[in-house]
Amino acid sequence: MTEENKKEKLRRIVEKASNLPTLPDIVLRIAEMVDSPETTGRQLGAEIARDQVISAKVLKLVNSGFYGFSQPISTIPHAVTMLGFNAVKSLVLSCSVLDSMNEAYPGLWEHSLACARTCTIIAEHLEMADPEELSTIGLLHDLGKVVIYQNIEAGYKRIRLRVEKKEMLIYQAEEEVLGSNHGEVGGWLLEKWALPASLTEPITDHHDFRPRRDHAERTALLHLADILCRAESFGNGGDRKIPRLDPEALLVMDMTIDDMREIMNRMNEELLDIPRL
Amino acid sequence: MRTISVDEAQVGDVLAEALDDGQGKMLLPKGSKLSPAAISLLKRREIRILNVEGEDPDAADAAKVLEDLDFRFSDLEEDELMMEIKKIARGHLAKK
Repeated sequence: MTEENKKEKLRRIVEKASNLPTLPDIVLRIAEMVDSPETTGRQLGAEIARDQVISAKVLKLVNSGFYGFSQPISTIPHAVTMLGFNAVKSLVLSCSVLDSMNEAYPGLWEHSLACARTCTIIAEHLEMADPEELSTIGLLHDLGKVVIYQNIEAGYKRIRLRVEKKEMLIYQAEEEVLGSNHGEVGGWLLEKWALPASLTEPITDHHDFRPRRDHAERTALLHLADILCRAESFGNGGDRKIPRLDPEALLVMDMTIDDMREIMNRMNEELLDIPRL
Repeated sequence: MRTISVDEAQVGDVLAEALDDGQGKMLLPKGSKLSPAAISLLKRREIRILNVEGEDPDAADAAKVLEDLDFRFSDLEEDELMMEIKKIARGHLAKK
């Protein structure tokens, strides 16, 4: 099978995956509401709030510290106001996947949480708009690893074996075994859920930085956040080695080593509750 | 060898140096294995610190963290940018 065929086959598996969103009705309604310019935050919040399991999970995520709000957020409409439509939508849709993070790779949840908060730190450093949405991108960036774990059992086992025996990076092992990496896989899923490119593109490209894409600055931010979390050992991405930072990502963000040092110092001061694994 | 306070002394710890009472009288020779009675004796004689055999477990952990850092960056030694990141991370991890 050629690399392209392999990738197409994988994409079909991901898109058909049966155990992804657990509640398709509510998911579809939420997706429609978010896409309609007439939907208000109150309406969206009310719709999500109808499902108690999903509401509880979303509130737990919102309050788990990665957004850094000083006051707890206790209602879904409040969460929608604070995070924006797309962030809440992606959290709703990803609930079932996020639950399995540490089953797929122990420490992945902590790594994702650290990455979410590092995205916020970098976004603040660069004074970028939408730090909450960027934080959500950080939280979901490794969604594809869980999708592969949940849906492609044999492939997942072969990937883990390569990572353990050959000390490879997960994304490289995935490319060898599946012809694609978890960034693309996560991106396909989010695209299928009709999330905007501003959110999907950075996740798709976080191991394949392309400076001329539409959302290159956001991708650069995520690419850097992921690598800094691994360098500082917050959580565990599932492999022991560290991917190489693309110097073009720093150029796109107009960043120097001194900026990185400031960011890493802030991570050390602020991520005290995240274990180094 | 590591230096510990008498309150940290555990039964079974081995003295790395002989202990005297401060006035030249030997209390326990080098190599003594501490028993509950020996620990009580040290406390009664107001010995505050002692040198015992073995590595400090915290120091061993710290060394392991840095060794792990070296391993994780081991394929990237030619990459100046990654080595800068490693240096900054090392500063943080060494302090833990």
